[in-house]
Amino acid sequence: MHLLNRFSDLPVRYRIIFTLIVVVLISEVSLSFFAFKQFENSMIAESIQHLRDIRSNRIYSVRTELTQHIQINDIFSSLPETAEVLVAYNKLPGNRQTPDKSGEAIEHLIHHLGEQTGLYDLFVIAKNGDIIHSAKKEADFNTNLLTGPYRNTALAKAYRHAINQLQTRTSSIAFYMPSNAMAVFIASPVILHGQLLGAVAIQLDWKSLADILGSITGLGKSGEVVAGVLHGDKAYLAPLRHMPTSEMDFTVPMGANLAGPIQDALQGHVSSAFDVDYRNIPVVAAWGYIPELEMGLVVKMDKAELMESVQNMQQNAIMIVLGVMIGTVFIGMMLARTISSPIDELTETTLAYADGNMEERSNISSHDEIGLLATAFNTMADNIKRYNQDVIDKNLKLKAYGEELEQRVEERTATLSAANEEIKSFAYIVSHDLRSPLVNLKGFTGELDYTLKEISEKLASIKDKLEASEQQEMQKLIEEEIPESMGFITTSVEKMDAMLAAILKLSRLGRRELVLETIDLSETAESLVDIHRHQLQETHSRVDIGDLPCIRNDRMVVEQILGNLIDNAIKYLDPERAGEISISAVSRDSGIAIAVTDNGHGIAESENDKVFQIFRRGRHTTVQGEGMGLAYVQTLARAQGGSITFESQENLGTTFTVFLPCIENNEV
Amino acid sequence: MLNNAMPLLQRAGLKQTYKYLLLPVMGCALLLLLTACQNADKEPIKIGILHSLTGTMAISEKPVVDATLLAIEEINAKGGLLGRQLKPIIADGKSDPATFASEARRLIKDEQVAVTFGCWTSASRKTVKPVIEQYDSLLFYPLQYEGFEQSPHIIYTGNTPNQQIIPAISWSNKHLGKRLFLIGSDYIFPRVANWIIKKQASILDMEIVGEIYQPLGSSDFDSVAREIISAKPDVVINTINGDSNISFFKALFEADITSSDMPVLSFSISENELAVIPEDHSRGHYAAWSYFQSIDSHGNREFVRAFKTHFGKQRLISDPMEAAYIGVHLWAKAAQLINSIDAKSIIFRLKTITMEAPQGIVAIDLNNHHLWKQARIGKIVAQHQFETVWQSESSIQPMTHPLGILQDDAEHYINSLFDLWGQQWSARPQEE
Repeated sequence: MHLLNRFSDLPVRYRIIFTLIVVVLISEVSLSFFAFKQFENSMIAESIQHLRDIRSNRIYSVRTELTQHIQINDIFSSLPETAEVLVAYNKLPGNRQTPDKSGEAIEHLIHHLGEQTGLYDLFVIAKNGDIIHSAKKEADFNTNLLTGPYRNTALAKAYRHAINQLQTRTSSIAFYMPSNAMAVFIASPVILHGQLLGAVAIQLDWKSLADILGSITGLGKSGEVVAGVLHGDKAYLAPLRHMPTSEMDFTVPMGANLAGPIQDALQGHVSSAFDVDYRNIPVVAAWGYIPELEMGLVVKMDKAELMESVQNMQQNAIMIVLGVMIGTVFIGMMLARTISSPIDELTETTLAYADGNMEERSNISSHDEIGLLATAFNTMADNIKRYNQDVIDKNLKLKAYGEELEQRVEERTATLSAANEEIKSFAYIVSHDLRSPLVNLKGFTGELDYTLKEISEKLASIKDKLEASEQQEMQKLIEEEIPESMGFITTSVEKMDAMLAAILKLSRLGRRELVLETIDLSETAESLVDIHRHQLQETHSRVDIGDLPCIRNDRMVVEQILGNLIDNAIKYLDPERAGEISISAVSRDSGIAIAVTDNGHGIAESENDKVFQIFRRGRHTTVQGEGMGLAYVQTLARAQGGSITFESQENLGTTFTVFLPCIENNEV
Repeated sequence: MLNNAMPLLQRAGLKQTYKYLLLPVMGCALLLLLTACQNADKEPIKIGILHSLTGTMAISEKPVVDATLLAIEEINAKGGLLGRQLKPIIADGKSDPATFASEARRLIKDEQVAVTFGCWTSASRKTVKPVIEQYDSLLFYPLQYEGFEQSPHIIYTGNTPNQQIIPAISWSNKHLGKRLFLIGSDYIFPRVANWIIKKQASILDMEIVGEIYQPLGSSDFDSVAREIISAKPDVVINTINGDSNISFFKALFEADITSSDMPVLSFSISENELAVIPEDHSRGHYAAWSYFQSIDSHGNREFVRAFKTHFGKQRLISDPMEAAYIGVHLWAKAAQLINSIDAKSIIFRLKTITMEAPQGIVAIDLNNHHLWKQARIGKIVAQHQFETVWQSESSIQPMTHPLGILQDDAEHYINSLFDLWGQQWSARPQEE
């Protein structure tokens, strides 16, 4: 992968040249290798086939030749002259040869046959082993093949087989002393009217057979035919080209690492392969076996000669590969140039454009991929230019709108804050200024009370002066009705005072400056709950304070908020069931949400709007309070940008959640 | 403009990708094509095997089927022939010559076999011969037989008389004696074999002291044993075929005819037949073949080991089995050399082929399609085996017409038998 990445970093033209070279090299080398191998294989196969054909032809020819000689000998054995001379000889006492008529006839016949067939010699052999007629009359003539000096020759063996097995026998090839040459014999029994008379034999010149076998036609410069026979554990070879006059005196021990083909042939195998010959030179050879002669035959050719043409082909192949390689590089460079130069040009244009010259355009006008790319680039540049202008125009308009909008918002905000201040000061004024007359009202009510006591004392002094009924009426007025009315006034004034005090408090709370400190919410909640411990125990209620964090805020504000919420929760518990209140808090990035959940009466949906209104209280009249709690909480929360929300289900319970934003020190 | 340009560009990009893909794809295609060319024509070559799997000859012929299969398997294990596997098609001749002929026709016509290996009795071969010749097909016949036959379409891998009978009689003449008693089954091979033996006996001044033929499958040899005792031969020449031999040797044993007094020289008893004859009955007698399982040569040890590995340790191997095994290998060698399974070309090429068989070097004769083979005489020893007591110096050239017997004389004799038996190659079985 790394290499591939580095390759991708190379300029296109190098990549093209490199790819071309690699592709061409691979295909060329593999193709030429394939073709070369094919050529080599077919060369070898052809050569081997050629050698095999020669091998088969030679074997066939020699066997045909031998078969013809066997037939000649068969005819020879069945000629009446042959039988006649044998009958005559066998009849003689002591088997002595005497020239007579039949002898002359057979002599003539033998000479004639020998001349006609090119046979080296012909023999007539009596039943007792005597050679009674011979064409050449060599040293073997008139000797006995069973007891004489030549009883162990190939002729004697063939004769014995013919006599014993009553059939024609071809001897293997061997040196024959009387002829002082290598020879092959074919012996046939002579049988007449169920009587074995003797045998006839013919002698084949090894040279005539070697001529058939050893022809080097079609065997090239180094081709050769090697014949071999087995005697004991040695192979006797006749290399028929390199030692043409050989008499099979070249020996190779069987099992030696030499002349493998002839050794294999002598075991009766027909095959072909690469091997070394009797000279220990690598050859390609085909071999076979001639059963008549018990002879192995190898047709071979030096491997070097065969490989010469293969090597020539190899050299040619390398030259062609090199030539094509150079051509490929040249074409590759041309091709690379036509592809990479427009790319370079386009790259330059693009770089200039990227540097900010938006007016830069490509001049390439070809119709190929690069041309299309250049056209596309130009079109793209034009389009970008147009879009750019549009964007600038729209931006300007947008800016104007924004400014206008901002101004309006500012104006409205100013108006609003003025109104807000007005409301705040109004509340303050109302609550503050309304208290003065109320103080007067209170004072004078006290004065009235005092006056009433005076009246009552005065009245006691004049009590007796009055009639009983009047006295009773007076007493009722002074002691009951007036104090009753006074009581109402006092109550109303106090109530009003309280309300004004509440409003005043509310308006002050809204403007209070925060004093920040670290507050442990858990601790705070616990101390607030502690206040109600007695009540909670009575109602078997409990408050579950969750894992609350420490926050940085104004202690009074937090205590007010938490206190009010806890108060409320406890107040509105349903006496029918055990109260369960939980206090929890969730920290968020922007602040903290503190939730107080109860299982009290809950809030009816119709009252949802009025929950945070001042002097509003729940419907449960049994509960004491001035209806300011939640209003305070809301005011305190809002004063620092927080909020309060709730969720409730009637008769099941309510959750109030106060969100207090984080307060940065510098804001204070 | 932009909308038009984009697809064009995409297409150009795809073209580039194709270009890079094209070379490897083409390379693969080329390779596939090459391998496809090499793998063409790979269906197996059908080889017919035609022997009796049922009937009286089954016991002799089944092992020959196994030997044929062994050679086929050996060739297949080395990658087959010409790159194709050999597929044996086995047909049952049912010990009936007519069935042999019809099965041979089926193998050649319907199964299209390239070559047929089969037949045992001369009777079956003589009915199959015209079928093989009619279709220009090729038959390898694995049995020794009486000779006087040649067909350009049959390769005879068994012995001819001059490779079995004549050397055996010659050997017998030297080692056992001159008085011969001839006993055989009444069909073509024993009749012709004895016809030759009588001619040879006359040449060698031997005497025929008795000649009896029993129908194939006969089990009554008590009278034969009595006749042998009264004739007092030096040697009994046995050409009885099949399981009759069990009764024959039993009768001899019970008549106290021992191998030392009157040895039996058999021409149709191999290791497989010995397996069913009690050892006491057969020990010390002789048989003539080219091959014995006991031959101690590298080639034969390999052959015996291979056969036993395939078919079991207790199995015995006989001459006809070896001949069948040789036949398959010779055929395959010739096909290999000419790179074809055409019957005619193979027959021609076979003439230059030799091979190192378990018995020694074998070659096909140039003239008569028979095999150059060894001749051996074995003495029956324990465990159904033979001990070689004589063997020829080298392979003997096959002769279809031994002892200078003329074809006309032989044909005349053979045809007279054929007529005598009512246009059959064997005498009719005795009526019960």
